[in-house]
This record gives sequence, C-alpha cells and structure tokens, in this order.
Amino acid sequence: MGAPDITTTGMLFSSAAAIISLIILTLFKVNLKKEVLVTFIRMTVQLLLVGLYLEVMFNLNSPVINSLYIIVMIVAADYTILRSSGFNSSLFFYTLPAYLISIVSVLLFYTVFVFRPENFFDARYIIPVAGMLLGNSMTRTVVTLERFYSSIKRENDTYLSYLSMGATTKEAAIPFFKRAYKAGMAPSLANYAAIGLISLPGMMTGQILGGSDPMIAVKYQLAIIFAIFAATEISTVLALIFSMKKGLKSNGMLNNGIFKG
Amino acid sequence: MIKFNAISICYDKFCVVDSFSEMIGEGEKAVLSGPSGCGKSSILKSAVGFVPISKGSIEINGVEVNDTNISTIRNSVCYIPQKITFDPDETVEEFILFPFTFKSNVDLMPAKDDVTDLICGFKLKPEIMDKKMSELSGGQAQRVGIARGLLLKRPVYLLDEITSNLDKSSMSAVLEVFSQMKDATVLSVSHDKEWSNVFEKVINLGGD
Repeated sequence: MGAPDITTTGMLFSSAAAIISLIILTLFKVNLKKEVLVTFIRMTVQLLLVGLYLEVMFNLNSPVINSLYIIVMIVAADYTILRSSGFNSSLFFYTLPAYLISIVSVLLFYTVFVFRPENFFDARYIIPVAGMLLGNSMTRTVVTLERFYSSIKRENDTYLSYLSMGATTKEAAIPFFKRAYKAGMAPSLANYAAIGLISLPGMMTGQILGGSDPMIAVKYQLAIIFAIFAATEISTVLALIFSMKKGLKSNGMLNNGIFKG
Repeated sequence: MIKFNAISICYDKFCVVDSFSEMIGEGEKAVLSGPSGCGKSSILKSAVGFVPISKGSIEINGVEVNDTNISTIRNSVCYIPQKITFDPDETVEEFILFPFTFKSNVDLMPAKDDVTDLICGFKLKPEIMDKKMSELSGGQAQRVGIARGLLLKRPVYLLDEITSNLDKSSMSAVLEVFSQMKDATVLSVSHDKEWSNVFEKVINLGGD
C-alpha cells in the first residue's frame, strides 16, 4: 500500500517551518536569515532532483546501472569526506577500498539473507539502503580517522616513545587506534540507545506514514540499524588500516603530507 | 657505542647542527650540554630516526641509523623523553608492561619483583602500581617512565633532560641508577650540573 500523495498546497503548508524560523531569527535579530533561506531552497531542489533521478532509475531498474550508481556514490562519498575533513586527497585511494568492501559486502549480505527482494538488483532496495549505509559510514569514518591522526600528532611524544622502545609502526599505533575507534563509536551507541525511547528513526516513521504495519516497519528499521552498524564498523577499521600505509611512513613517523596545507 | 660522523640537522634552510662528530664508547656515560636551541635534543632524536639528518651518518653499535635498519636500532636503544606522556586511562602497571607486549620485547617481560624493586629504588611505593597514570604527580610519572625504560635493559640509553622536572633527591636516585649501569652506553642531555659531575664525558655544544 502506497502513501497518499501530498498536494502542492500541502507542500506549501509544510514549508511554513521555514517561515517560523525566519520569524524567530527576525525577532531575536540573529543574522542567519539568508543562510536558512538558501539552505531550505538548496535542500528542496536537491531532493526534487534526486526524486526525479530515482524515478528514472526505478523505471530502468538495470542491474548494471544500479551497480554503477552505487560505485559512483562510494567514490563521491570518499572524495567528499576527505575534502570536508582535515586531510587532503592523498588518502583517497587508501580509504576508497574500505568503503567499497564494507558497503558492497554488507549490501550483498542483507539483500541475499534479510531483505530478499524478488529482483536481486532491485533499485528500490539497493539504492536507498546503500545510501543509508554510506551516509552513516562516512560520518563515523571521518571522525575516527581525524581522531586517530590528530592524537598521534598531538601526543607525538607518546607515540615516538613506543617506537623508541622497539614497537613496530602497528604496535605503536594500536593504543591510538583503540582510542579513536572508541571515541568514534560513542555517539553512535548513544544514538542507538535513544531509538524507540526518545526518537523514532526517519525510515521507520516514513514507512508507517506510508501505510506499513508498525511491526514490519520496526523489523526493517532494526535490520537497517544492524546493517549500518556492520558497514560502519568494517569501513572504519579498514579505512584506519589502509590509511596507515600512507599516513605513517616506513620508519614509523607520521606523514604530515596527509593533512590539508 | 654511538658514533656521530659529521652530521648536520637542518629545518628548512636553517641548520641547527652543523657537522657534528663525536664518539661515545661502549659503556661510556656522556652528557650533551649547551645553550637552549643548540640542537642537543635534535642530535639525540636523530639517533633513533625521529629527526632526519641532512648530512653525515650515525652508527649505534656498528649499525648505521637509516630507514632500513631502524627496527634493529630501536631494539637496541631506549630513548626517554623530557616529559613522560601516557594514556590517562591506563594504570601504572599497564603503562610499565605495555612495551613488553611488543613482539620484539616479549622475551624481556620482567618479573613482578624486579618491577617492584626498581619502583622502590626510585622512592615510589609499590601500591602505586594499581593507580592510574593520570593520578600521579608529574615527578612520579616521570620516575615511572624512567623505570619502564630501564626494565627494557637496552645496551644504549638516550636521555632527553629526564630529570628536569624532578626534585633533588629523586634526581640523585635516577643519576645513581644510570651511573651504576656499567655495560650500558648512556648519552644524556641535561642542564643539571650533577649529571656533568657524575658522568665521565661532557660534550659541550656551541658553548665555552
């Protein structure tokens, strides 16, 4: 059962949120009106374009195009994530395999064993799921990578003291690896712990609004959370391991060439 | 034995060390002294590959310090920095034993009694082992860090102003331990006169 369409008038009413925030910004004389307006317009245009694009993709439903689209998404994500972080693009080819392996393997596993759509490459399943996996993995991976390299840089004496006591590069990096991994995971755990009590995830809410049975929506949501968790863990660990080939030199020293100018 | 063969250490175009040559024989104890910024710490760090040299060469027990030999070098040397840093969550025992989890040091894992004896020798109580490193004072953490280095029983020690944050009696205890190590070669950077008085060789950089 599909969700009833929202009329144009309904959509205009929904944009009232923007007007409310504009009124508040005017009342409190906060100089952010232009930014809020631009963000709302930009988001609307982007989502409308994605909607049009996905409609075409769903109609075509070609396994080759769907697979290519996912690969393009992963490449774009890798590029964006490095650009928005404190690193330059020299890590690109070291983090790319981490995303490819994690997203493709988790997507395959969940498509084959959990969601089991009639058509294995059904765009309606694999594209939104890949998007969710990628979006979450990206955020977590960049936080962990930044934490890892910045702590080696900040606590360089500790790192060097391990090397000077005979540690291999990997052995010296392990304590930093563990701390970065733990720090990256903490916000995700806090978010997951709040699900169902404080927050209702967007996907589940969307499914319920779309007419799905709440229990089915919950099952899908749980499956997606577990998939996100798996993809995030794999991509984070692999990105850390692969990036070390570039980020730490053969003599164990930190390669400052990976950071933005 | 540590041999510096006309080494230069330059940052960008400025050379902090220019054609420095020196030899510290096996079992010899030497102090590097000189004004701040004359390159003492850089010389020490270059011997473990932490600071690249732009000219010359360094040998430790006959092995040249370069990227190919760096793991051999780091398994025969112990570099102790001026300020001991640590993971705030680790206990003193975890901190001390961590280097013995490295593949190259597994066989050197010290007996509990040896650790306790050394800790007591540095005027620390054995109960300190269960405390978190973050609970120690700067001086206590420094002494624990020095003790950890000593447990590795390396033939060569490079000490970078390790007693600058210690009180007089703790400094004497540390100095006593290093001067008693007959077989170990020790090169220490220090401003404290006590080191120069006890160690047999004083290498003065850019001074009088």
